[in-house]
Amino acid sequence: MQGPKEIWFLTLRYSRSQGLKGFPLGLLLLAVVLWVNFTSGAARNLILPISFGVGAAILYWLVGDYYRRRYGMVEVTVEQRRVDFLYAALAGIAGLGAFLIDVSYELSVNMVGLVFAAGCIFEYKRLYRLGKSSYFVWQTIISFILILAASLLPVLGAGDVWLQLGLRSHLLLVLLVTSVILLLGSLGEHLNFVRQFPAGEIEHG
Amino acid sequence: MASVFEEMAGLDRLIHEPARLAILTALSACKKADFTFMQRLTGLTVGNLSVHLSKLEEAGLLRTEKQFVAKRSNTVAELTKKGRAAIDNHWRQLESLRKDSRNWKVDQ
Repeated sequence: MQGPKEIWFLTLRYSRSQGLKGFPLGLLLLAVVLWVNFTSGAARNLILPISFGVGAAILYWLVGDYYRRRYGMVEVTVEQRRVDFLYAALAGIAGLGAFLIDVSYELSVNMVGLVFAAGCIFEYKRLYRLGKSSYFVWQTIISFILILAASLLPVLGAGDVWLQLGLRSHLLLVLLVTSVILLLGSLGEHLNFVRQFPAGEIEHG
Repeated sequence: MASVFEEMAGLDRLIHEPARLAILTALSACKKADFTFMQRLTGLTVGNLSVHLSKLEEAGLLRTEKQFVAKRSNTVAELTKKGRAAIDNHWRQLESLRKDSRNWKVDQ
């Protein structure tokens, strides 16, 4: 049996630690990045991006159902739900602000990437620092360094690396790196999740 | 000897039993949780978990509700007001005991 601190932490962060939930989001971001990159001129046909979104939503629901059936359900408190919503709203505003700056000015740093990098640290401080597993520390460090490096490429002297990779802009490179981190991170988080909830004699009561 | 310490600290034996303490601690971190989750978390067998839940429910510390998900029954548990106060108080007592133990001195 886990210690009391771990029990409390695992219950509190149960929904957030279901790693595979990040997989549809990573796929969606990757699909959108590739779609934008390979669409020339103004996009008239939006069926493809809309189907990406619908597909990701269905996949997200299926993943949630898998966790609910196999590992059980935890309903968070109203206070926790409010706090999560507040942070999600703040992150959305910061991301949107950064995006507007990126598309309005030609900066040598990518603001969306900087927001994502800061988000990695913030999420760790907020959600995972109480956990016993060292997995989250390493995931945070690696994600932070990769996203920060991608955001600062021009400053680091690699101003056109995205063109060499066949991408049309710095922003697309940052989003591509973020989507790959989301995809790989979701698999890693799932393996970590499975370790924390080992299979035993599981039956419905 | 353990019971002497428990009496000294005024700990509630119903709550202090490790499996029940784990269940109550988990439920104190959320609104409600189902049987499958509690079983995964605690590693208890179906029978053991059912017995502990029943004891806690009889004491008025939690309430359970049977739900049917995809034609399978699943029990969902939630702390009562009394249960939430009891587990908070229990952890406070343990913390206080831990602090006090720092002042204990070994007789030479």
